[in-house]
This record gives sequence, structure tokens and C-alpha cells, in this order.
Amino acid sequence: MINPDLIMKEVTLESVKDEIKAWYDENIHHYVTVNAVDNGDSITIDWIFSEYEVKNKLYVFRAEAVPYDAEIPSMVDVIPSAWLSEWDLADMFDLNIENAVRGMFLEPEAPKAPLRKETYNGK
Amino acid sequence: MVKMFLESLKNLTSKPETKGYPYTPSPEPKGYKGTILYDEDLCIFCDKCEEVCPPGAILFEIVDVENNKREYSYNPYLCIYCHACVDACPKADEGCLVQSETRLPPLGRDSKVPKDKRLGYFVNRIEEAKDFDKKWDEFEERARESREKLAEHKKRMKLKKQQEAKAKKEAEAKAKQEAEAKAKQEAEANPQ
Amino acid sequence: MGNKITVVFGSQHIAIPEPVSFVFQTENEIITDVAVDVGYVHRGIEQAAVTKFKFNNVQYLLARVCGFCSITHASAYIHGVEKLLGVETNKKIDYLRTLVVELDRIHSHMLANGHVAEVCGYENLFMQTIKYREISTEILEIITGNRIQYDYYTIGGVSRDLTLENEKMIRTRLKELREHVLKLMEFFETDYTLGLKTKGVGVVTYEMAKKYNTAGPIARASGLKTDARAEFDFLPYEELGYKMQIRTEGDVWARNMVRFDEVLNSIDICLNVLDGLGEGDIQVKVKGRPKGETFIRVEAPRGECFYYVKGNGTKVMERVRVRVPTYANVPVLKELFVGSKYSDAQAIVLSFDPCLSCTAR
Repeated sequence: MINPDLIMKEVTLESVKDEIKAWYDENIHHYVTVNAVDNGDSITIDWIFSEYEVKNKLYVFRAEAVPYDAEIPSMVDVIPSAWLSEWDLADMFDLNIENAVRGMFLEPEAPKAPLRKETYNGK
Repeated sequence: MVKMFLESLKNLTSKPETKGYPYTPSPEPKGYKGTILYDEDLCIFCDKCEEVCPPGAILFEIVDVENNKREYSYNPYLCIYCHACVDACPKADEGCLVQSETRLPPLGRDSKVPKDKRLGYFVNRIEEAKDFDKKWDEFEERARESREKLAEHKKRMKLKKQQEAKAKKEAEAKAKQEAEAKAKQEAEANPQ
Repeated sequence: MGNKITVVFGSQHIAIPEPVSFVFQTENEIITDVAVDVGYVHRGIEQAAVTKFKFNNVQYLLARVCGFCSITHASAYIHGVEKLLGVETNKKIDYLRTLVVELDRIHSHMLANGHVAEVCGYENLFMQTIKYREISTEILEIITGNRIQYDYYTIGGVSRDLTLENEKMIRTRLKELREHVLKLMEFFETDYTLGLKTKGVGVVTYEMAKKYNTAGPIARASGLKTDARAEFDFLPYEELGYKMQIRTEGDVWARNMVRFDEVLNSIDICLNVLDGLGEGDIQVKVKGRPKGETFIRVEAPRGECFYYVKGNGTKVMERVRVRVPTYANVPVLKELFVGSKYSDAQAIVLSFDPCLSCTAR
């Protein structure tokens, strides 16, 4: 890991919402984004937070080896601004995110899941 | 509000801030990132500029596969003027690849394609401006094919070399064997 | 009560030349509901970054995500790759990079403020602001050779050095610019009619800013102390006299004033850079290929820009994730409209300085 003050926590999809709910304090923590990385056979999902007025601090909640068709919980109840980044992931990776609306970023005729490896590398 | 009004009155009487382009020319500033110019005599054909170019505006076509002779081609209308090729060029200090401070005129439907030896071979071979894009696509394909041909040629040459080496080795071994056999024969013939 | 009308704002609108569209449900003049569409300007840049381009070319691609914060995108990516490669840059490189990043911020902020004045019907002030903004773009053109796409960052350095003659010129021009900005600030501060359109309009309260995780000048105008320049140390901001600019009103006017404050602070930073610029190489040696992952946050003019960069030891990156500042500010923008007047919608949108081509990438 290159970032020195990074706190990484491994979570599962079932527990992530409760964990973030219990931990997140809007006075201290700043929600940055939710990110996904395609590993070729599964997906790694990171929920990334920073802290106000503290140098170099980042918190990452990482769910590893998420299957493509898994149901991913939405964080909108805890973080009201999370919807845009979630909809983005739902479009770009064709993920099954709770309450996500498709078609915000991609046209209806556009290729599905452009950021999955199987889309750009071929199966 | 009053202050802005006074400022406006001042602007009304002062000289305009804008230049009278196109009636007066708009000069490029010193150090402007303009067209890439090339000097074939200095080039060592290391292909670094081709490799580093983000949009692929520099291409080398291998015209003579046997002697590995390359021709530099540059598409000024694909170039993003990022300076990466000049940074990569090992002979840039001597003037092999330089970024000039002038820009080429835009390429219209009826305008003339600029001609300059230092723009590379491709631009100088195009006559009609409207063919430019089509010809460049064809050229890209040709350059790719020529590269494949070179790779094939190299492979063949390598194989040939290997075969030659093998044949030579075999011949040597055979000669040695023969020599040994001869020596043996001679030894048998002259037992002494 | 009253007439219920649906008003469509965008995606072709004179105030904002970007494909964002808001569909407002209004009752008389008051907006009661809003739907946002960021438009189809998705260009597949994230995919291109991991397929078509080698890792040492990706910065040129990412610089073209956005015209205004082009240097921010390139800088975020390069800081990430330099971390993965273990490259240590020297003081001179850091200073030159800071200079260009701050000049970029100056010209972006000036345009944003001028734009707000324009949609408030004050085109005179808009012209005035753009006239002075020209100074910053001229300086950038002289330093980097281009007005918008600088391509100044290279992995392990910058593309060109500052000559002594240019340095002198930049110093005088920046001082000139500071006078002009102070004058413009006075216009913005004292003008009665502009105040009617901007003061108390589109208020983002401190609580809202926190709740919706806003970023950049929008958050700082509401008193939220967030700035990636203070939170991350990719560039030596502290020693160059960076100060966080905070206002607490949270309205359109405060957002403009925060931008002007930051322009003044950026001018100070630029002058400090010129003072402290020592001798040194402008390019350090870079070897190897990126392997591993890293998270980068840099401050773009519009707010914080987040990058996630992952390399796998080959020529092509494994993943490049771009989260642009507008992304963080769209959710609060959506909430803000409800209850405000339709006639204020333009000023509110433009005071957020949205960049939709960034958002959709």
C-alpha cells in the first residue's frame, strides 16, 4: 500500500451497511466515492472516506471477491449524496445496486458494462 | 453601481482590449507549442517518438524490408502538440525533432496541403486536402503491414542464419569425421 | 396553490453551454420538484485509459477530460503513478507544478465569477472579469506554450523550465492582476443590483454542506473546512503560504467571494513560488512500470478531485478511476432548488460552476 495513512477495513456485502452506519459521522468524515475494480472473475468494491482537516487520512471499506450478480446495498440512507456514484457504478459495471437507476450516464443503445474486463478484453 | 458605471465610461473611451483579428495578425507567443519539425539526416531511427505519441500522429513506414529503411510520416492534424515526442527524442538537442513556434493553417476542403520537407513524407505526398483523412487511414494500415513484414523478414533471416549455422556446424562435424576416418585409415594402412 | 407548470432548463440553454438538463416542477414561481439529467457526454475515458494508452501516455488523455481543470487531472494521475514508481521529485519541480496549478485555478475561478455575473444580467461585469482573466491565460501560455491544454506535467518532472525574462514578466503581470481582482471584488461586494440577485439566494447551510458531502468553493462558502490542498501534501502548499478561505453565508454571493479570495491567495502562492524557485533539474529519472494501487486527492478549481490508480506491472494500467468535483456537488444542487425561485435557478447553477463533461467523462 502506497498511501501511508490509509486505514483499510475488509467488509462483506451483508455487513457493510451496518458497519458504515455505526462508524460514519458527518461532522468528521467526508464521503469521497464508491469505486469498483474488475479482477477478471469478480469485483472489488471500495467505499472511500476522508476526514476533515486531517492530513493524508483515508478510510477504505473494501469488499473483495464480489460476484458480478451480487446484490450490493445502497448507502443513500446513511449518506444522502451517495446516489450519483452508485448509479455510475451500476451503469459502468452493470452491477446490481439497490435502487440504482440505469441510463444516467450511458445511452440505452450503448454497450453494456464498458468497464468490465470481459467487455474490453473479450471473453 | 456608480463605480461600475464610471468604469464602463472609461472603457468606452479607452482602446479596445481585443485584437483586430483577422485583419491584424494574431502572433504566437514566444515558446508556443507548434508544429513538430523533423530532420531525417540526424535521425537514428530509434522509433521512440512513434512509441510515445499518444494519438499516433507519428508513424514510420518501413519501405525497404531488406535494408530496414524507414520513412518518417507525421499527421499535423492528428497531433495534440503535447511535446512528448520531442522529450523522448535522443537527438532533440541537435535538432532532429523540434517543436516550432508556428502553427499550420487549418485544413479546409479546398485549401492546399502544406508542403515542407521537414513535415515528413506523408504530408508531402498528399495533393488534395479532402483526401487527407482517408489517405492517412490507408497509410496507417500500410505502416502496420510493413511492420509485420519486417517482423516476418527478421524471423526468416534469423531462421536462415540458424539454418546456415547448423549447416556449417554439420559440415564441420562431417569434415572432422572424415578427417578422423582418413587419419584412421592412414594409420591402418601404415601400421609401422 | 396557483399554476403548476413544468419548466425545462437545458439541455440547450443560453446560460450554460453544457448538456445538463433540469426539469423543474413549479408552482407560480417557486420550484417544488426537480429532476436532474447529466446528459450523454460519456466518452469512455476510463476505459480508454486502461486499454488504448500506455501508462506514460494516459496523462495526455486524462488532461482532455475537461478543458478547465486539465492540469488537475494530469497532476492527479501523475502523482499517483510517481508514487507507484517510487519517484521523488525535487523542490524545483514541485514549485513549477504548483505555479501552473494555481494559475489554472485563477483563470477558472475568474471565468466562473464572470459567468455568474452574466446570468444575473450583468454582462458588463462579465466582460470586465474576462478581460482581466486574460492576464492569467497569457501567463499560462508563456509558461507552458498553450492556453488550455498545457501538457505541462510529465512523469517525474515538468515539460519546460521558466526563463529569467519570463519570470520577471510574470511577476509584474501577477501584481497587475491582483490590483484588477481587488477592483472586481469591490464591484461584486458593493453593487446593489447584483446583490439582489446573489445575496441570500441558493443558500447551502453548514449542515447541508456536511450532509451532502460538498466539495470545493461551495463547501468553503458554507463554512465547511474542506480543501484537498490542506488535507494532502502532494505539492508544498504550506510553505508557499496557502490559507484556507472560508465564508459562512453559503449563498451565491459567498461562493463568488470565496473564489475571489482564493484567486488572491493563489496569486500570493504564485509570487512565493517565483521567490523560492531555486536551481535544479526539471526532470528526474524514471524507471520501471507501475505496480500496486494508490488513492489520490487533489484540489481542482471546482473542488476536490479523486483518483484511484492501479497498475499491474505491465505497460497498461489496470484501473483508473476519476471522480470529479462536480460529482460531489450535484446531489446538493438538486436539493437546493426546491423552494427557490425559478428566476434564480440560473445563478444557482452557475455559482456551482458545474462541469458536466467531467462528470460523465
